[in-house]
Amino acid sequence: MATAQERVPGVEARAGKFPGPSLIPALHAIQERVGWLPREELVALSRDVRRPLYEIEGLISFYPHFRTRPPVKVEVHACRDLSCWLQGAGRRIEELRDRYGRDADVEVTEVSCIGRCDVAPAVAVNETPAAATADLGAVIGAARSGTAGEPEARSY
Amino acid sequence: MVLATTRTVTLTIDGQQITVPDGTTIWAAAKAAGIEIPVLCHDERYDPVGVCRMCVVDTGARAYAAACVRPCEDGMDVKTATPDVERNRATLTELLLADQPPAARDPKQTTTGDNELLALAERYGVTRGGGLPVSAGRGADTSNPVIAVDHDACILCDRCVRACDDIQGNDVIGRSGKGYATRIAFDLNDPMGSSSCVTCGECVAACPTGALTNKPIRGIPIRPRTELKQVDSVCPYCGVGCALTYHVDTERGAIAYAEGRDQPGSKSRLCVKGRYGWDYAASPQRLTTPLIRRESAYPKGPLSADVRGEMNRPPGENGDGAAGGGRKGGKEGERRRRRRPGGLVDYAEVLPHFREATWEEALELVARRLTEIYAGGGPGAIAGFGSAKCSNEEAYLFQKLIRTGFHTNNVDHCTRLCHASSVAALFEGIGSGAVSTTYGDVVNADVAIVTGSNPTANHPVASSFFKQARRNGTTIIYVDPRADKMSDHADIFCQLKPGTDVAFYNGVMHELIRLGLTDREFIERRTSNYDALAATVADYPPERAAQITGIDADVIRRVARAWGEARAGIIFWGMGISQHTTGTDNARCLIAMCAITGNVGRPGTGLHPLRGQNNVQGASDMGLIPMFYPDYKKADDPDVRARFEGLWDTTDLDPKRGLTVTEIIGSALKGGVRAMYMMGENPFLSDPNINKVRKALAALEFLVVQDIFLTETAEFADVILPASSYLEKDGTYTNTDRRVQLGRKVLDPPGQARVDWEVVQDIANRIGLGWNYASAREIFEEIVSVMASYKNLSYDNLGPGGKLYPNPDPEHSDGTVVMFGERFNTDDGLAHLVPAEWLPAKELPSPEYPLVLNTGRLLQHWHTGSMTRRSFALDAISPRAEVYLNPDDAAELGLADGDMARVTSRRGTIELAARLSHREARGNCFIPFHFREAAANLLTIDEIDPFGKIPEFKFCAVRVEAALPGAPEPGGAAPGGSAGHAAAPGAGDR
Repeated sequence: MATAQERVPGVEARAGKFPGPSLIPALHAIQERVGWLPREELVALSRDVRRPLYEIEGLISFYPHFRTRPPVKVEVHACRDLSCWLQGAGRRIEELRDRYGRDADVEVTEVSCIGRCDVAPAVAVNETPAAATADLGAVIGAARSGTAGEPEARSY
Repeated sequence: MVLATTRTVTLTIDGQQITVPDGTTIWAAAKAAGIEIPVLCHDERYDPVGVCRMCVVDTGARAYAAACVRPCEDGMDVKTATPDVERNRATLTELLLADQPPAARDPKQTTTGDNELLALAERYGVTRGGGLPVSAGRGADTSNPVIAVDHDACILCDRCVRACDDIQGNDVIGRSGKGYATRIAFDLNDPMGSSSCVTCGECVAACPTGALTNKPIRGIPIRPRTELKQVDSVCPYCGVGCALTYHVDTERGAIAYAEGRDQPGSKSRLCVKGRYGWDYAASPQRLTTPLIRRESAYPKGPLSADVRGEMNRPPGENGDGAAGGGRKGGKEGERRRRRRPGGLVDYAEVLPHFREATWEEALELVARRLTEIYAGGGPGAIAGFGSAKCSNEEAYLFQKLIRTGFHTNNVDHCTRLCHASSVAALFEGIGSGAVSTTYGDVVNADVAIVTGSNPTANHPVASSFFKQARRNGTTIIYVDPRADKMSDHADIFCQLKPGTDVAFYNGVMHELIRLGLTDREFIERRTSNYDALAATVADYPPERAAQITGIDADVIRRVARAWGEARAGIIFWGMGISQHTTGTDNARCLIAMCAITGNVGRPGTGLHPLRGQNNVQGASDMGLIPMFYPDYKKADDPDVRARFEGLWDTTDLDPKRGLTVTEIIGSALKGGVRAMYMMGENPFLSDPNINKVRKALAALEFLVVQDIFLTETAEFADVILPASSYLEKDGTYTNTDRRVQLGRKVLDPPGQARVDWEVVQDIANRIGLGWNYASAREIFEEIVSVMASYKNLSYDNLGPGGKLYPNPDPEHSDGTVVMFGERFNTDDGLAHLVPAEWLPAKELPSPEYPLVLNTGRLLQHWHTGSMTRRSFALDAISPRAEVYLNPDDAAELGLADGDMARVTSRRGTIELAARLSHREARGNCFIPFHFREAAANLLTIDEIDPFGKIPEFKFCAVRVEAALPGAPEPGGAAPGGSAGHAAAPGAGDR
């Protein structure tokens, strides 16, 4: 390991300071297992891998994928990117917010492209993209009551 | 910046031709040439990151370069302040300023007044509100009792992040979020006050803007430096002895804030105690008038229910608002009364038993009674406890008074309770009780063993250098029964069973010898008795050591290999080594570890017992110990005696060694010692087996206590003399590194309180010693004339950073860092290896007392808490007594975090909150000894080490159970119910 004297100035101070593998896979594993990232799990991870909590915070606050609250029953991801916006995403998001903004079971999140520009404005309910013509109310209702069926066959 | 390479580069900066070592940054080269380049994110103490872009300069390339990170190149032509570069900076300043709080509300501009961004704004004539968009605000965080966070004032320069990581090694601050909403964050974006932040304040010192600022303490406003008086002094807490500057509000006669000051050891760093724990001196509970015990308060005994050992007074009855000799309680007294049952000595209960007196009357009484008891009982009837909190000058005079006035060597202090066994082993082994090298020398070590020590709590600034050394490549081996924070920073952590140190190190030495990793030449030339050591450790193969210590044999082998292969190895140890009945043996093993591998006498090698008190090294040097005169001259050596009789112009010095702290307590119980003078010691809480100490103190015919507060010990006093605090006097203090530093008077003593050495001199003169010291400086001159090791030192040449002793040329040199390069201080110059066999602790766990109790300190508190519990910050952060339990043990006992637990040993019972801590091994528990309402030393055993006479504070058997509310239990102290306890807002030791 280089001593302070040997270190080349100009190398960003934080870089390489915490040797070891990326923490992202470990965070994924927790989220997959628990559904989100409870504090106790993060504290235990920090202790196990001997990396500071703030390093974990930097990651989970940067990537929207990481959940720091328990998931709600119905997660609605509405794309806000250009193709969808041109197809009326703005209005659709506004409608969703009006309807579900105070609904404890439903969480509406604006996201970046989910790769379904073909059904723009794209919306995914619990990670299942809804058809452009789908009745979102019905899809969300089904997700809420746990009766949502298999995702429809994709028409690539 | 010092660079390993000698290659240089030559460049031009603003027309000046400059040659610098290769790798020097443009910013540093310019600075060396007297050219200041404005910068916000950079400070020479941290590695540069180049994020603020304020220091951009024109190098003739396509884009401007950040001078703080760009290395100089041969032939470079740098222009640091072209109109365009300056325009760049002005624009940058304007952009940064847009979001800042207005100057009139800026937390820094309105306090210390040195906001660096606002200074640049003024320089560039930039104002806020130029139509730039302003964010909705990123919020504030006032959860820390002494540090305010204003995210709006933050420019994300990362200085605090580097201060926290790279300087202090606490790893708390990072960034949360992204883009415009990014903020600095503590841990998982927690409020600062409940994060793992230890409130060292390094981030505040680092912050260029108003984002991180100090809050006022005790209502003393923080004002610009120019409006305050700066007093350069030294921290009064631990043996690390960090240099600091107090900023004093002379109108209010109070300290406004403290800052670290550059010194070769501490390098401007401070911990929470040094930076925020100085307000104890301003407590309304200071003693301000001499007090004499009323006739009605005889026969003597403890005066408060707590000290009597009664329990369960209703909460709220135990006010500590001052009366009588103290200042009036005021708001603080009210607040404490409501909030904390238990706590400090109950002034309202104790003070009525004393009456105020004049100094004349009090000193006359002291002199008369001591003289009478001496006349009746002879030298053995008198004993004195000095303090490692007092200055060298006071320690020197105190032992001189006891020795020349009462012809006894019965003088000791709390060193007996901390490193007496280390000193015994070091004297026997290498002929010197002081460290062989400084804590900062860790930077030169390949391997550092930190053992029996919790340095992040007890020597926080020293620990920051250990952590920093590790980041620079030093291997840290941490050997301790508790998984303290140091274990988070260790390459190898050995969580051994308590009391098995000898077996561990014997196992390591066995392996060192087996692998041939010893230094044959060093053993041959510099040590004696190697064969006996080798014969003993031959019986400790790693497998056997593993059985005893619980450490895997392979880990023991790994430790041996790392230590044996190190070019330079250093050992730091603390009370976990010394406070055992085998304390001397433990230290002998460490000495042998260093000696057989040749790890003494070179940079990065050596033995460093981390000293506890700010002046425990100095007080011991001064001869405040029963077996040594000043400079460790043997008390029972006739030649030494004759020399001191000459020097002190006296006769009949005691030809025998005196009694130690624990022996004096025992002697008092048997009527041997009948009168005592205590200067700044509080043995009631600090000594083992309080129930025995209580009887001993009550049995004394006469006790004079000189202190700044009414202590538990003072309840047994006949006369109480109000002393000056550290902040109210001049004097020298010797830190763990052997660094002698000047502590300067900051404040005036309150009321009639007086400087300690003057009181000692007055008593000396009243018993006819005829002393005539005019100042602390004069006493120091006598010390230097008597003690060879302090030779050449004087108040004039100690300088701002103090000087290490021995020091052949203090005018030009900082002093000797590494000792014993050629020979040891023993008579034959050799290191004497002393083999030790492992012995179990005296009181092993049993079915009735199944847990092992360890005691020690917390980061926020100091010893018996008489200072720290009167500090706003320290008390706010750590307000209550807790027993630390392994979560699995706690679950078995049916205890949840915060539940009241009852802890019982064969000697006493206390009740306190349970704290679940993954840092305790199963079967062990830990109680800090600061809290008199749950005094750990009611439980501890007064078994002592046969050589160092140090008590076994680190090991006794206890039983822990859930405390049922309201069930009285004899022999303990009152928790008074938990309802009044405020939850810890930010307990640091997680």
